[in-house]
Amino acid sequence: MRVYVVDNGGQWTHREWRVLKYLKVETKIIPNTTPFEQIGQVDALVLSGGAPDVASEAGRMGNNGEYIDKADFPILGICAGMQFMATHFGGSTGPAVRAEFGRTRLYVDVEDQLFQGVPREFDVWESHNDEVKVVPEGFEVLAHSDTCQVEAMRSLRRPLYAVQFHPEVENTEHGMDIFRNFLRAVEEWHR
Amino acid sequence: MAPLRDELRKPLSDALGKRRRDDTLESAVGREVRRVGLRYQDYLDIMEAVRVVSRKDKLDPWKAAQALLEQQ
Repeated sequence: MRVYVVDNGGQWTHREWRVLKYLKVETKIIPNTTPFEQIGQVDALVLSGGAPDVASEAGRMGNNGEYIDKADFPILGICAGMQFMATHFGGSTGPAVRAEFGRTRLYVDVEDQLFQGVPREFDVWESHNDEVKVVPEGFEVLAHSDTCQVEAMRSLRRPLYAVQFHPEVENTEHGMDIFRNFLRAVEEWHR
Repeated sequence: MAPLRDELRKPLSDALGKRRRDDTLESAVGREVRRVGLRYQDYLDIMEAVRVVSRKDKLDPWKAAQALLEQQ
């Protein structure tokens, strides 16, 4: 399986790559300015987190929009990747009710593919000032925290998944399981 | 690449005219497409037409969109 990580400038992009490598996936980090046609044959993409405030600096997200438009394979958006996905489909983001930095309790609302086999509550690692305010049409919210209503979402029409927290960080409980679940979804998609 | 269908020109033109600070062209076009009740496939058709011009003429998406409207 080949899953590339799109680098949106986040501090943990390298960790996302490392987790995929650990899970024995062929992977590499690609700049978010890579033209879609140059990505080649992949089974999925991970849109990394990033520093940009996507609500006001979406231009720094490079070709993420084209990837989302053209991909006929699963995509996982993390943090800024999730926020971009939300705005790309007509949702909106804005300053968080309370910015989340560090350990945060996650409550799983829908035990979708992404959260199969993990507890209904567990701690995750967060690092965000902004959050999704309006969920785009056709997306379902999968999880929330005490201060953030949209901690995870997925498209009901396409294999697009997104998490606000950072499953690639060791401090996120069950982070590896979430990545495994995503890869399982990728496998099933291509079957 | 076939020319942009007539009914897709207006949302593209409106997207250019109503550009918000640091909008991506995709966000702006998506907004206008939804506003007039067109489909996601219509959005994809517009964006692909723009991207073809952008790649061919090495223009940023906004300039490519302008050039596309002026071409037809």
